[in-house]
Amino acid sequence: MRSAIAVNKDVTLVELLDRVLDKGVTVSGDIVISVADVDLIYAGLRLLLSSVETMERLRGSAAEDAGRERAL
Amino acid sequence: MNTPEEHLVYLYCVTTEPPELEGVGDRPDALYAVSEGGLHAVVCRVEAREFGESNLRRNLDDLGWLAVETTNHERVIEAVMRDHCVIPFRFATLFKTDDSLRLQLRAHGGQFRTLLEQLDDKAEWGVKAYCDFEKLEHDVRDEGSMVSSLDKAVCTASPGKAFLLRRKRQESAKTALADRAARYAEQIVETLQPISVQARTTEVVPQREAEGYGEMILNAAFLVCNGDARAFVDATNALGERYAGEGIFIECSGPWPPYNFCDPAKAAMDA
Repeated sequence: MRSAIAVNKDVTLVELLDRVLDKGVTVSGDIVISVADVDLIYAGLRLLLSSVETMERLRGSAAEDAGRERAL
Repeated sequence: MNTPEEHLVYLYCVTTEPPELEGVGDRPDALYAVSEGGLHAVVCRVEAREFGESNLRRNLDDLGWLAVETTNHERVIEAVMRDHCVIPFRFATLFKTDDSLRLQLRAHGGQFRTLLEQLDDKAEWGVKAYCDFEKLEHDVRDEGSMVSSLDKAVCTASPGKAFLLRRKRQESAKTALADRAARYAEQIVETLQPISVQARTTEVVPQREAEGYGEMILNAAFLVCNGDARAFVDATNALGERYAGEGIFIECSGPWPPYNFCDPAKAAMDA
């Protein structure tokens, strides 16, 4: 069903968080964490990620996990 | 409040057909589907110790944990997306029980089904553009614009006037650069829009600056029919080649779950 083309699949953690934390549907009601909480966390994260030091750290550890080519 | 022994239900995505879930995901518990009214929610049982409100907050501060878990989140949705159209949910969308999730599926089923029809056989593609402002500044100055005429005036002016002119020059240079960068961003979106069903620009991420790509000037998402994906990627590559000499770097990623194109369902949820 989906296209066979995949481009730049070695995404950085920031790219992933930009979608997974900031976008996507959230439901209200019987849900444990509120939207506002995630928004706040994400805002804090953005600031954190803009510092060079964090980028270095990310590239060393997390980028390896998040950035591993996803076999899709 | 949850006790440490309790479990929560983590929702990844919703689809209209029962998905094959064997071997998908990296979490200790197996994935399963919660079905209601022709909709199938892909979920996993997680421990409240890890995902309960206060513990989740602490874990979100741990970038290592976050990297592993968001990667798993994405992998699960992408695996389901390979064979089915999906509505992707945000990281850590948690319910207390299967039944409370079922209630939500019943309450919003109509919106979910409509959205799934709209998203069918389409995927999201990300396009980011970065600008090497030093290079761009050089080009703007070479163009004999207002900036360069101010440059000449500064040389012949009295010290007091030169100071003011210099300040004016800095201001106009900044505006000219920002305008130019915005024009590049517009042109990229205008070129790619006709190959897509929907286009959206979102806040730029302070991402690549440290890596020498320049500053992000465009963070766009496009909903593209799977049949047009090749044409879309070719078009972004062509744009990249066209602008490479002008200090503009373009990056295309995908196919992504349609995180940016679930607004109808989002609006219904918020209401």
